[in-house]
Amino acid sequence: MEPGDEVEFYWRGARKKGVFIKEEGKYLIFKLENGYNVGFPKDEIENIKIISKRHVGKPKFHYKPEFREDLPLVGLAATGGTISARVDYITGAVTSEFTVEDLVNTFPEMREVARPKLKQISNIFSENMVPSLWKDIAREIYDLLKETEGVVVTHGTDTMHYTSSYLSFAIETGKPVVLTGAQRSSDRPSSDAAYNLISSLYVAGHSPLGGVFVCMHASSSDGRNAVHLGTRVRKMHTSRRDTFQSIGRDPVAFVDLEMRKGKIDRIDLEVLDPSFSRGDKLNLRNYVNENVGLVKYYPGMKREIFERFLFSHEGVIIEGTGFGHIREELIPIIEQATHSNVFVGITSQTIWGRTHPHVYSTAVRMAEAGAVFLEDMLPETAFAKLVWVMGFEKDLEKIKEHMLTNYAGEITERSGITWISSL
Amino acid sequence: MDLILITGPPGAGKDTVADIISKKGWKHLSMSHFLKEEYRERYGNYPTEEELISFAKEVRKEGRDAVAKLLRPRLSEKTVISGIRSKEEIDFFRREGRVVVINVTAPEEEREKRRPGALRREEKEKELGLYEAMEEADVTIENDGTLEELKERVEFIVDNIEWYFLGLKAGLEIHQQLNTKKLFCSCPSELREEFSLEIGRFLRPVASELGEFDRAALTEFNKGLKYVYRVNKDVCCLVEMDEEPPHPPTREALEASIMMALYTNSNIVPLVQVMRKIVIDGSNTTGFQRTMLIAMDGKLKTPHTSVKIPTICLEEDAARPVERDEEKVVYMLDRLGIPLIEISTSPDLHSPLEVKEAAERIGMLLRSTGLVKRGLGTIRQDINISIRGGARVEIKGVQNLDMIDKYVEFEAVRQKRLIELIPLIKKVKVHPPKDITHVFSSTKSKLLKKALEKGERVFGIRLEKGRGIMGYELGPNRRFGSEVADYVRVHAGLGGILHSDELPAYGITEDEVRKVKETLSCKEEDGFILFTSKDPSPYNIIKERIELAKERVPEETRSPRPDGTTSYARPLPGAARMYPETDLPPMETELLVEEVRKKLPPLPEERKEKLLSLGLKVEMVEKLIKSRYLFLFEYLVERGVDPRFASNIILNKFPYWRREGIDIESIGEERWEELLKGYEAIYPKNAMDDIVKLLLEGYSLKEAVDKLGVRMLSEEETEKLVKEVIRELGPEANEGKIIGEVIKRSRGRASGRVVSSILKRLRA
Repeated sequence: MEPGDEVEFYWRGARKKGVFIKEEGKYLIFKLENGYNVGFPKDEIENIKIISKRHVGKPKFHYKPEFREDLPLVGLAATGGTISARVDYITGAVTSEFTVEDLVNTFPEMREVARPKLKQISNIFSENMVPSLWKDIAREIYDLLKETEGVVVTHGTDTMHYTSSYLSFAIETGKPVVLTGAQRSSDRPSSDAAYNLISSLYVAGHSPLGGVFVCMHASSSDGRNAVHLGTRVRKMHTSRRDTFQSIGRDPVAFVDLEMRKGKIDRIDLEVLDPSFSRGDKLNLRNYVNENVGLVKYYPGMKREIFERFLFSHEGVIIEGTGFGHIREELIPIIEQATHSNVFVGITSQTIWGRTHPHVYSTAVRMAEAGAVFLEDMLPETAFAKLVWVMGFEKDLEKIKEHMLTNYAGEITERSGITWISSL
Repeated sequence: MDLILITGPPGAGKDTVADIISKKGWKHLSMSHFLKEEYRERYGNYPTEEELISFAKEVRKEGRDAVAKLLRPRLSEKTVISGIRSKEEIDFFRREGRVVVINVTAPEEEREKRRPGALRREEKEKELGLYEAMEEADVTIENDGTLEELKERVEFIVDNIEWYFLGLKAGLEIHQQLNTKKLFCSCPSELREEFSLEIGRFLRPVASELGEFDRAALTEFNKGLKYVYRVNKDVCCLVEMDEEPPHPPTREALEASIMMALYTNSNIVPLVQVMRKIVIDGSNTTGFQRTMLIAMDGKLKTPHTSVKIPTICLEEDAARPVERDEEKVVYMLDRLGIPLIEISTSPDLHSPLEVKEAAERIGMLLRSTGLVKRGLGTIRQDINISIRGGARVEIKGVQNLDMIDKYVEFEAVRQKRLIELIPLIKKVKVHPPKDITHVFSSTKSKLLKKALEKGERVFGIRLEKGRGIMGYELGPNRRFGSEVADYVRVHAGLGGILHSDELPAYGITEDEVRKVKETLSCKEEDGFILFTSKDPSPYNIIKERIELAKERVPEETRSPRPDGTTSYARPLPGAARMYPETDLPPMETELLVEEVRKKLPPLPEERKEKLLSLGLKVEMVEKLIKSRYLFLFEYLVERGVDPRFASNIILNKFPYWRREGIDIESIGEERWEELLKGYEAIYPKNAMDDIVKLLLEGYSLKEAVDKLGVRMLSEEETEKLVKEVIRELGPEANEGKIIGEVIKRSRGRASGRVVSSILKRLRA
C-alpha cells in the first residue's frame, strides 16, 4: 500500500473507504470518503483491500509566457520561502517547491503591470540562507538589471532584511531591486502573496525609485503595501502580514492596489522620500567574508564564550544593551581582540535608537578598547555590511571608515522621531 | 390498497411484527404459511423445511414474483404480508397499491438462539433474493430489545403509516455552540456589537492538487467582493484575524465532543487531524473552516425509533455577516472561532415526530455535557428531507426546535405536490418575453410605478396552457409561483414576479390584466408571468425553473420561514474540499477519552434518584427528566430556589409562556434565578407574567418591577397600611378581613404572610 491508494477496510466492525495517506508511528492515516483525515492503530485495521492505485499527481500548471509588449520588462527572481511554499496534499507537509513559473500562473494579474523575466535562483526557506548565497543572488540580480527596468526578488521573510542589507551594499543601482515574500503561503485563499508580488512588480517596473527595497503589507489589511529601505527594515513579528517595519525612518513609499475578479482595478504609488531616485548607475561590488559574526550580549554572559566568539571570527558585531554596553569585566577581551586585528562593531539590542560611546563610562572604555560604535545601524544591517566590507578590506582603520560611511541609508544622519507605528 | 411488506433474515421476528400490525386492524398474510398450504393442496401433506425451500424455488421458477401473484386474490384493503424474499415480489406489490417495506433484523447470535438453524436457512434464502429485498426496505427495525419495545416501535409506525407510504426520509445535522474558550485560541466565546478596528481583505480561489479550481470558489471570487472584518479586541486576537497560526484545540471543547461520542456509543477516532474545509465567502478570514472528525458510527435511541450517528465533528464557527452591498460584505469577527459540535444522523427518520424527537434527544445530550451555550442562535439545525420520487433537500439553519416537525411535514407535502405537478406542467409551453411596458404607462400600481421610475421595463411571458399552474398550491401560502419567485430572487436578483393566477392585485387593474392577455395573445387556458427588469434576461431563470418542474423535484438548499414553510436558497453544495491543517499536528485521543469517561456527567434518566431526594413527587420527577429545562431546574435548586416551587414554574408556567411566544432560554439562567427568588419578595404573584415579558426584552428584574410599579411594600410600608386599615375597619375587625383589605389596597403588593405577622405583633 502506497500513499494515494484508494482502500477499503474494517475498523471496529464498520466498513471504511478512503485514501491511504501515510504511516505515522503506530497509526495509519487515511483520508475518508467524507474528506476527513483520521488515524487508526495498525492493529485495529482489518481486511484492508486496495481498490485502486494512486491517481493524484502534481498540479498540472501550464506556464504560458504571454505578456503585453507595452509593459516594462521586470526581472522576477525567486529564492524560495513561504511565498513559494505549498502543501503536499498527500503528506500534509509544507514544502518550498513552487517555482517562479507557478507564481506567474497563480497570480496572473501580474501580467497587467509588467513583463516578467523569470529566474529561479534557489528554492529554500530563508533560515537556510548563507552569505555565499547572497553573493549568487547579487550576481543574478546584477545580470537581470542590465536588461530590465528593475528586479523583484521573492524571498523567505525570516532573513529577508539581512539579504536586503547585503544587496544594498553589493549592488550600486539606480534601478529598483524589490524584495518581497509572504506571511501566508501562496496556496492559501488568504495569502498576502498576490498583493505583495504585484505591488513589488509595480515598484520595480514603474516607480521613480532606485535602490534596494523591501515591499510588504503596510497593515493587516490587503490593499496598501509599504516600500521600506533595504537597510532600515526589520522583521518585527513572527506572523503578522505587516511584520516588516521601517526602523528609525519612514517607509520610502506606499503602493495602493485594488484587485477584484482577477483584474487590477487601481494601482497607485505614493513616494514619501524622493531621495532614492531612479538613475543609470549600475555597479556590482560583490564581496563576502564568511568569517564574520553577530552576537547578542546578555546579563551574565560567560567570559569564555565571549572570548571564544570574538577570537573565532575576523570581525564581530555586538548587540549591546542600551547605548551599546557590555559588562565592564568583558571590556579587556575587546581590547585583546582588536589588538589581534579582530574588528569589533557595536550596535544596540534596543533596535530603536542610536548607540553612544560617551554618555556612560562603560561605553567610553569600550571605545578606548577599540570597539567601533556604529551609530544607529541595525544589528542585522551592520552584520551584513561587515560581511561585505571585510570581503575586500582587512585593515581595521579602513574597515572602521567603511563601516561608518553611509553607503545605502543604513545610518540616519538625523534621528527621526518615527516610532513603532501600526503595531 | 395499502400493503405493509415484511422482510428480513430468519429468526429476526418478522411474524411477531406482523402479529402486532394485525392487531391494529390489518389482515395478516404469511408467504411461508401460504406456501405450506399450497404444498398441502398439491401433495396432500405439509412439507418439511427442506421440502418447503425446494418447493419455493420450484414455484419461483415461473418468476421471482410467482408466489406474490398467487397471493393476489387474498389481498384486502389493509394487508400486512410477512416473509417477502425478493425484490421482484416488492415490485409486484408496489403495482397493486401503496406499499411500505419493513426490514426486521436482529444480531446473528440472537436469531440463531430464537430459531436454531436460522443462519443456515439464511444462506438458502439468499439465493431467493432476500438481500435485494432487504435493500429495498423503507425502514429497518433492529429487534434487539424487549417485546414491549418492539411493540411500541411497530405501533408507532402503523399510527404514522401515511408518512411511511410517502417514503419520507429525514436526517439531522445539529450545530451547537460551546460555552468554552474559542476552539483555536484563548479568546472568550462572546459576541460584542462594539469594535475598535476594521480590516479589509480579499480571498482567492486556490488550485487543487490536480491544478483545478473549485467551481463554488470561482463563483465567489467572480463576485469581486471585498471582505471587511470588524474586530473587538476583547473577544478577538491575531488568530481570528488570520495573523497567527491556530493554537492547539481547546481541551474543554474536545472533552465536550468526546462526551457526546460516549453518550451515543460512537467509536472515537484514535488519531484526530484538524482539517481545512475550503469556504471562500469571507465568513472565515483564512478562506477555510477548521474542523475535525472526533467520532463515528454511533447510535441514538429516541422515544419511537433509533437512528445512527455517522459522525460527530468539532469545528469553528464562522464570522457574523452584518452588512452587505455590491462591493463588500462586512463581518463581525467575534463569532469566528467559537467551538461548534456538529452531530449528524443517518437519514433514517421517517415521520415529522421522529425528527423532532431526535432533535430533542440530541439537544438534551448536548445540554447534559454542561458545556454548551444556551439561547437563541446558539444551536442551529439543518434538516435533510426526501420522499420517494422526490429529492434530497436541505433546510439550513432552523433555530426553533418546536417547529422542526412542521418543517418536515411541509417539505414532504411540498415534494409530494411537486411530483403531482409534473404531468400537469408538462403540457405548458413558456413563450419568450415581450416588452409590455406600454400597457402600464399610466398604471396606479405602486409596485410597477416604482420599477418604471428606476428605468426598468415590464416584461410579460405567455404560459401556453398554463392557467392555474403558477397558483398551484404547494403548502400554506406557498404556490408554484413562490418557487419561481424565489428562484429569480436568488439567481437574477429580482424582487419577485407577478402571475396571472394572483392578478388583479397589487394595484394592477382588471383592465390592465385584460390588456396584458391581449398583448401576449393569451387564450382562455393560458397563464402569464410579469416581471420588471432593465433587460429581459431573468426570463432564462424563470424558464429554467419551469422546465425543471417538468422533470423532477430539484435537489436544493432551502431557508426556513417562521411559519414552517421554506424558501429556495441555493443549489446543494458539492462535496467539501478538505486539506490537513498543517499548522497543527495530529492528536492522539486515547488518554483524553479515559479521563472524560471518568467524569462523564449523568444523563437525565440517570438523575432520578437525586431528584427524588429533593422531595419531589414521582410524577414530577418523570416530567422533569423529559423536560428540556431539567438543567435550568438543577441550576436553580443549586442556588437555593425551593425545588417544588422551581419544578412547578418549569412544568406549569413554562408551557404557558412558550405558547405566548416567550423564548425561555434567551432570558438566561441568572435572570430566572432572580425572578424565582423575587417571587412574593420583590414583586407580587400576579405581576409575574408581565415581568417575564419585560425580562425577554432585556430588562433586569429591578427595572421590570420599577417599570410596572409593582415593587412589594417594605415591612414599614405594609405596617403603615395595616394600621390605616385597622383605623378604618375598627380594632375589632377579624384578621382575614384586614389581610384581604390590605392586599386589595396595595394592589397585591403586600404579602399576606407579612400582614399576618404584623397583625400578630400589633395585637400582642
